[in-house]
Amino acid sequence: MDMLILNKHELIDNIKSLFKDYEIVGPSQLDGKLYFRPVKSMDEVVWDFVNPVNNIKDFFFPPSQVLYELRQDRIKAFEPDTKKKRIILFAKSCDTRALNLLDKLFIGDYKDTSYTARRETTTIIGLSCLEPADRCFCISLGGGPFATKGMDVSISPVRKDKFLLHILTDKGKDIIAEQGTRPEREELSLTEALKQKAEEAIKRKINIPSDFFEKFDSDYWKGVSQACIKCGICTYLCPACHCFDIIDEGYFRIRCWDTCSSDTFTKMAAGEDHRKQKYKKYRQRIYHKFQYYKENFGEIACVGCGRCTTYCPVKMDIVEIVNNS
Amino acid sequence: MRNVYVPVPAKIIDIKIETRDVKTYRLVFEYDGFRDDFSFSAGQFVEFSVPAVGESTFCIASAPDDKGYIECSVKKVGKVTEAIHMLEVDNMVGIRGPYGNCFPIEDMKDKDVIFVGGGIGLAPLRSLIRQVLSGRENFKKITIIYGALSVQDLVYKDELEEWQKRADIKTVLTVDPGGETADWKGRIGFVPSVLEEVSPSGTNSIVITCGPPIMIKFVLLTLDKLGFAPEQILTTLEMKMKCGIGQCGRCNVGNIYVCKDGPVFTYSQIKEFIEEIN
Repeated sequence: MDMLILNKHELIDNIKSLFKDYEIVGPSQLDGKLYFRPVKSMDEVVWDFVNPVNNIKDFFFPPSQVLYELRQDRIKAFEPDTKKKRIILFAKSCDTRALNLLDKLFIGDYKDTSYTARRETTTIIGLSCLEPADRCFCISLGGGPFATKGMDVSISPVRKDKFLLHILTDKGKDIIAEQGTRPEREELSLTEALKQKAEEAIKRKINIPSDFFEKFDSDYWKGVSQACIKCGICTYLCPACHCFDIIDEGYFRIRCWDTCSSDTFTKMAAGEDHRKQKYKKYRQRIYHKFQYYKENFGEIACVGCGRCTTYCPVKMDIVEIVNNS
Repeated sequence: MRNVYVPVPAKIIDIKIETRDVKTYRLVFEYDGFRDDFSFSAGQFVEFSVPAVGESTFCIASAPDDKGYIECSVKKVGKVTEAIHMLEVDNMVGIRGPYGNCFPIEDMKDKDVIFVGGGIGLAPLRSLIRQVLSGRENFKKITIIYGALSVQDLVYKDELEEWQKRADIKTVLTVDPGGETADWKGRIGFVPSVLEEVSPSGTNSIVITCGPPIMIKFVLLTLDKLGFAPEQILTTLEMKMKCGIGQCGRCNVGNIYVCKDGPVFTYSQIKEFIEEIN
């Protein structure tokens, strides 16, 4: 693993040189809010930020995509255009860690070709979180503001305008020029101090009760889900949620995000629905993340980014709800 | 790498009207290679596409040995199935699969095998029954108990007649009270009650049941009364599915994806989540 010290303009020049061959996605302002979206220059990219509204799963498992065109006489498959490779700039550790969770599903027993192609042709440059948000709780789920899982290159500040780069993969090596200096011990300890400060700033913790599994049948879920308006925002903005629908629009078959809170999610054609009540839908979301995903893939499908709580219109708080269950 | 969502074109070569709302479609794959290589086991299902309408999940109702074609029986209940009922011979559809697990036929050998079906629930059982009958000598007593709402709602009538004629299997047909016709020679009563009357032995035997949830619920109670252990009871679950490959999340119950880990389960496997799906 290579480590480099670069000053800000060296880093910017390096990234600028990549615009020619890559499509660059980065955190950028739109209508007063921050989103990960394609950018044309480094001027559009924001450096100091907590989690943008969307997360980087959008660029691997997009909100909607045409799978194929199906007619009586022909079937034409659509694969993503990956001729121009992509770089995701300044991804946060929670989002990159979630990609590893999605890999287990989409590159598992059945390989999802479009997801796999996008994964293979995307390079991720992560940026450590100096000032995590109040709603963050990544540490209690095994992550951290300076964690690097799922990144090809990680960038951590040393001091103002000076950065420590970790080149973590071959893909990362391909985009970072040989330059800068090797880190001095003092620089490493400065970064370490910033890391500790950031970790200490994360006060929220998710504590899954030891009898969580047995609580499945408890009336608790009816109470806590009362406020839910089944809008699905928590699932759409979640970096680890991955449920989807497959629908036809004319002759195009489309895969689009779906949510377990929807009234049609488990409703069958003849009208039967074993998960009709709202509390059952909400409970499914919680148990899918904190129980079933762990049983099936070894890890909890929540990375502690806090978006579900931040953007919930009725202020449902996943940390409180799980901790008090 | 092949895109798993892209179906293979298949041509409808025969349509059989089973009941007022069930038709059986015989499909032949258009690609020679696929036609010869397509194999499946009884209990598996396919995703069936109608261009510009959508995709639905159906079990394969023909037997694994029925080479060169597959059959799906489709009950008209919603958008896609209504569109399927409009299709004609020579129309093209899309098929992907086979998906899911299958009935453990090896475990059934040298045992009494009891099939308990209701309505369109006979479709997955039919695939297995045909397979079992083609290797009849490998099994002990074979009992088929099948019922429907009315005489008109019984599917695979020709085969039912054939099975009834055979001396080496016991076939008991029933219709719900009020569903009989003047010349109905079968029983009148609900499937669970008829099962209790037939009273198969729980010793060295295995039951395979499929039908509406309410029937399954009472069949399970009856089987318990007759001394069958949960491990001896197999069923195939119907649940809303989209992807068929354990990813879209719809059929997830507990840590199980019905499409990938099932649809065939023993009652002991589903006991833990049967409350949630009933």
